[in-house]
Amino acid sequence: MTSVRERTEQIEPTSRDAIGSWLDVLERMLDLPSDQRQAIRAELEDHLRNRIDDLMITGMSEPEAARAAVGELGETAELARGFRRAARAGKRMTMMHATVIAAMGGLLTLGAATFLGPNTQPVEQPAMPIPPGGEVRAAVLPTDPGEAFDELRRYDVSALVNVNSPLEQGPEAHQLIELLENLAFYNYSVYSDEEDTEDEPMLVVIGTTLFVRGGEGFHKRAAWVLASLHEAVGKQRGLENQRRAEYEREQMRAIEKAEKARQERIEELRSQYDEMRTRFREYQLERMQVLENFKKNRGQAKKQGESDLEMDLGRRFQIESTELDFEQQDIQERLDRIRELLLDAEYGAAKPTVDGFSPNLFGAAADENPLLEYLRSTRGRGSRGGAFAEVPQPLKAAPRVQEIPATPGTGRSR
Amino acid sequence: MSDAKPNQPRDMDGKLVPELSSSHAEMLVLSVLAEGSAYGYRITKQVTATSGGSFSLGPAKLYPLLTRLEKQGLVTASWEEVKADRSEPDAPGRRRKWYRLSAKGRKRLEGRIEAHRQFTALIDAFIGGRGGGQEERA
Repeated sequence: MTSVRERTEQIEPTSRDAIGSWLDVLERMLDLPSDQRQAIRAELEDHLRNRIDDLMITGMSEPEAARAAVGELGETAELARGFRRAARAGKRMTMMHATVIAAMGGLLTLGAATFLGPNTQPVEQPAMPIPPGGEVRAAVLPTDPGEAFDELRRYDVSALVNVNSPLEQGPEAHQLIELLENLAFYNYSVYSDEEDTEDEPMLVVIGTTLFVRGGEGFHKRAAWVLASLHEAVGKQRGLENQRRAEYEREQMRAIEKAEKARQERIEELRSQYDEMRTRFREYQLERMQVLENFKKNRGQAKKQGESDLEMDLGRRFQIESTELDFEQQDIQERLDRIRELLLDAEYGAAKPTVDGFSPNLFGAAADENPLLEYLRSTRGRGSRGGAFAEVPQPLKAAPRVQEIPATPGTGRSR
Repeated sequence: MSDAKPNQPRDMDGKLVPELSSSHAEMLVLSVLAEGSAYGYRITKQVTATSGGSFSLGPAKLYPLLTRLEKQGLVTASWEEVKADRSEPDAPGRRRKWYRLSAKGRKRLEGRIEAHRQFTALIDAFIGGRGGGQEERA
């Protein structure tokens, strides 16, 4: 194969022809669309003409200047390769943009319902890949586009972005793109004789999908960055769940503690009630005894005709009865008080609650609770309602309190 | 320098002029365009002039680079019809492609300049003014 120098020398006589001929050779090597080839040709011709003019000012002849100018461009094949590489980067980006636009157009055509449905019937969509010339032909796309297409891949970033619709681009999308560009794009840029290792990638986040166009190296690094982000998100969520579980455990411990105190209070009040009941029985016995004594003594005094003694016995009986009445009143008041305290302990402010959750710690409905039934039935029968006709009924055992379930709101204790 | 590439330019003394890496080439081209619009040949001359001949950005490197920059949206291009000064009156004109720095390109340039400054500062921290410090040691 002849060199450029030999070729241009052979084609003489004019530099104009030489330049034109060389450009013809380059144009054939470019293997690009016609409009791109013509643009490159026009630009290089302008460069060469300018260069020739400058070289001629230094004293070169036109043919010499033409040879020198063309020589400065280097090997024609190498130059053509450089243009093809540069144009391919643009072509891939064009494909990327067109693919995204086509996909978005397809989604808009389908509508949200069919996009989200797993059994969507395929409909007419722009074809992929885009043929040279940029035409977009309608064709039927497969229902599953797959995870990768040539250098174009997609990643699920639903754990990293918050969006309300499949086509939304939230602020997290731009942050994610910037992060990946900064971390995953390898472009050795300082004082190195090496070429850039890869073309600049293209990234787009649509909804919860990240589309990436890039070389294998970029995809590996991007996947590593995404995995790291998912790991960090997972850890954060784990921490939040842990904190919430700890908070709930704290709350339940507080409930248990308050419930234990309440039960102790109820037991104490029961004990006091039993004590008062015992006292009431003793009072009754004493009253009966006083009455018996009075009757017996008055009977004897009457038999003996001792009216003075009879009157004296009557006065003493009055005094003792009054004292006993005071004692009875005192017992009734204390029983009333204990009754109120027991009701408060069960249904009043002492009942522990957490964020509105108020477990029914006695389980069954109040009507089934013998203690509450008795308290209700005897309420007001003390100081207001007159003397007790009989000894107050013993307190029947309330249902045992069930263990509080581990998770609030999962059910009653029974 | 002993591994000179074919057609690697030389200065007036015949010494090989170091070739720029792609990243530096990009930074210099964007810097030139930051001063104003320019076409390809003017850019090469500007680089040579500004560097005092120390840098050479040949057309084999420049024009594919400009193609890439245009595709990436870092520069925009427009065409002008010109007539060469020395051309014959009846000769057809030719087209000249002018480049202008885009907003995206300006942002890219700022980023590269900042990275370059940081790297330079790091290197300076290591060498700490040596080269001029030998007199002090003596």
